[in-house]
Amino acid sequence: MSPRVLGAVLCVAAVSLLSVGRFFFQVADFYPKAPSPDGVTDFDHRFAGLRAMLPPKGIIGYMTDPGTPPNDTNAQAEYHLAQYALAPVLVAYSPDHRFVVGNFHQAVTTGSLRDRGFKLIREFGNGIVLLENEKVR
Amino acid sequence: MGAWLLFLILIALGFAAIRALWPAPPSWSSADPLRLAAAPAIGFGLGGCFYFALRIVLQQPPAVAIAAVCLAAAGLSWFAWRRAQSAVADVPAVSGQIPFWLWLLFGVGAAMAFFTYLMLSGAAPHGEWDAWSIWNLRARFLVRAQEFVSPFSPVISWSHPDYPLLVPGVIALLWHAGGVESPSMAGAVGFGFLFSTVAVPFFTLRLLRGPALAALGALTILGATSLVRVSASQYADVPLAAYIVIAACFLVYALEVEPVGNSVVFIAGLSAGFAAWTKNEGLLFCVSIVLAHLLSIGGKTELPRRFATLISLVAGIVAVLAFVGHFKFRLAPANDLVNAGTAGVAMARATDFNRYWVTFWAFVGELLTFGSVLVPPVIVFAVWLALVRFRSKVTGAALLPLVAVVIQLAGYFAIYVTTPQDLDWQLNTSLPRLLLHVWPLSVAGIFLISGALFGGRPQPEPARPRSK
Repeated sequence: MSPRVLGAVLCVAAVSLLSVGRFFFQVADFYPKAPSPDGVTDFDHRFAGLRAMLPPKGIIGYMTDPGTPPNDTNAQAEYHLAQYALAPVLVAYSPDHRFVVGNFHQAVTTGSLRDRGFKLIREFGNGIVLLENEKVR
Repeated sequence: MGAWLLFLILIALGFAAIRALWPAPPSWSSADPLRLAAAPAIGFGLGGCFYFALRIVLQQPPAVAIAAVCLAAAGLSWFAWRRAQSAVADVPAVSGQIPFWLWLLFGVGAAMAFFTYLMLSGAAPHGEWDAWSIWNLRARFLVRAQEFVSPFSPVISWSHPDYPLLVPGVIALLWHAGGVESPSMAGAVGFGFLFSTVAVPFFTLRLLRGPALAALGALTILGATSLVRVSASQYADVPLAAYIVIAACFLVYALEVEPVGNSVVFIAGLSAGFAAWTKNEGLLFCVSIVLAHLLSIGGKTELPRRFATLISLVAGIVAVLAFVGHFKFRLAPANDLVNAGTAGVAMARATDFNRYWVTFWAFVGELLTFGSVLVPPVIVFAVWLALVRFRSKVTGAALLPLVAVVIQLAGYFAIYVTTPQDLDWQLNTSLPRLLLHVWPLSVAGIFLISGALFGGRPQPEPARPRSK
C-alpha cells in the first residue's frame, strides 16, 4: 500500500471516528443529567386522567395562559403534546368549542374563567382543567 | 413480548421476501449479509403495506393484519426455500485485504454510534418534536381510533395528515401486537432502519469493492453524527435514507453483477416505492432513480441491459405506489406545498432570482457544515479522491448513485425555490435533514468510484446464469 493511499485512509477514518467520538462523549456527558421520566412521558401522565374521561372521537378546544403569543414555541410544543396525549380526540387550538382543555401555568381562578364564559368541569392538577364553553352549546 | 416477536417476524419477512425474489442455495451464501442488511427496512415496508391495506382500507381488526404478516413470512420462507433448491451460488465477494487496525477503527466507531443511539433513545423515548407531532402521533391515532377519518383531519393540519403512512403503520402494527403503546418499539424500528442505512452500503461495497472500502465507507456514513441523532429522534428522514440507499445499492449490484437478473432490480424498485410510502420526498426519489438508471450509461454496450431492467425497476416502484396513490387520493388532504397558491404564484416564485440566490447559498453553507462532521465532507471527499483517485474503469452503474443524488438535490432545490412557505424558515428547518436523505448514498457513490486500496480484483467474476 502506497503512503498516498494510507494517508487517504487515515485521513477519512480519523475525521469520521473523531466526529463519532466527539458526539458520543457529548451525549454520554448529557445522558446522566437527562430528566427522568423525560418531558414527553411526564406530559403524557399529566393528561392521563383527562384522556380517560374523553370519548373515543370528537373535537375539543384548547387554551393556555392568557396573553401567550400565538407563535410562542413552547406553547406550540405543549399544544402538540396535548394532542399527542389526547389522541384520537382532535384537539383544536381554539376555545370556540363546547368542551375545552385548559393547560395553565399561571394561577387561574374559576371566577375569571366564569367571567370569560367557561364553566369548570374538572381539575386534574398541574394546571390541567376541562372546561365547558357556555357560549357554545 | 408480542411486539418484539412480531418485530423479529417482520425482519424475517424482509429476508424471506428478498431471498424469494433473489434466490441463493439453502446454505449461507456470499450475498446473504446484504440480504440480511436490507431485511429490516424491507420487512417494515411490507408490514406497513399489510397494515394499511387490511386495517385502514379494508378495516379489518388488527389481529388480521398481524396474522397476515405472520402468514406472509411463513409463505415467503417456504417459497424462498423451494427456490433455493435449484439456485446457483451468489457471485463471490471481491477479495481484498484489510488491515486489522481498520476493522478496529470501524468497530469502535460502530460501537460508539450504537451506544449513542441507546443513550439518546433512553433520554427521549418518544423521540423529538416531529416524532410526537407527526409520526408517533399518527401511530397513536391509528391504534386508538375506531375510525380512520380523525387521523387525517384538517383540524390537525399542522401534523401534516398527508404524509405517507409506512412508519406510523409499522409502529401501530407493533403496538397492536404488544397491546401497549411502547415507545421502545418505535425506537427499535428506528434502529432497524439505521442498521439498514449503514449495513446495506457496507455489504454492497464489501461484495463489489472489497472489505477495506466497505469498512471505511460505513465509518464515513456514521461520521455524519446527525444520522444517529435524527434516527434516535424517530423522524422519518433516516427510514427514507434507508430506502434510498437500498434502492440504489441493489440496482448497482444488479447492473454490475449480470447474472443476478431482474428480480434484484425489482427489489430496488420496491425500495424506491417504499421511499415514497415513507415521506413525500420519496416520490421525487422514484423519479430520480429512474432518470439516473437511464442517464448513467457508460457506453452503447450498456444500453440493452438498462432498457431490459427498466421494466423491473418501474414495476417495483408501481407496486408500492399503488398504496401511496390510494392513500393520497382517498384519505389524505392535499399537501400544503402543492395546495398553496395558484400556478401563477408558483411561476412568480420560480422567476424570482433572489430565491435562487438564497437557496444556493443555503445549500453551500449546509454542505460545508453538514452532519456535524469535524471537517466538511466536501473537503474530505475531495482530498480522498485526489489521493486514492478513481477506479481504472468507472462503469455507468458505479456512477448511478451520484447521478441519483444530483437529480434528487436538484429536485429539492426546485422545491425550495417554489415553496409557498417562508423560504428562510423552510431552509433552516428542513435542509439539514433533506441532505441527510442522500448522505449514505453519496458516500456509497464516492466509494464505488474510488480506486482500490489494498489490492483485490477490480470486478466480481460473473457466475453462470441462473437456471431459474
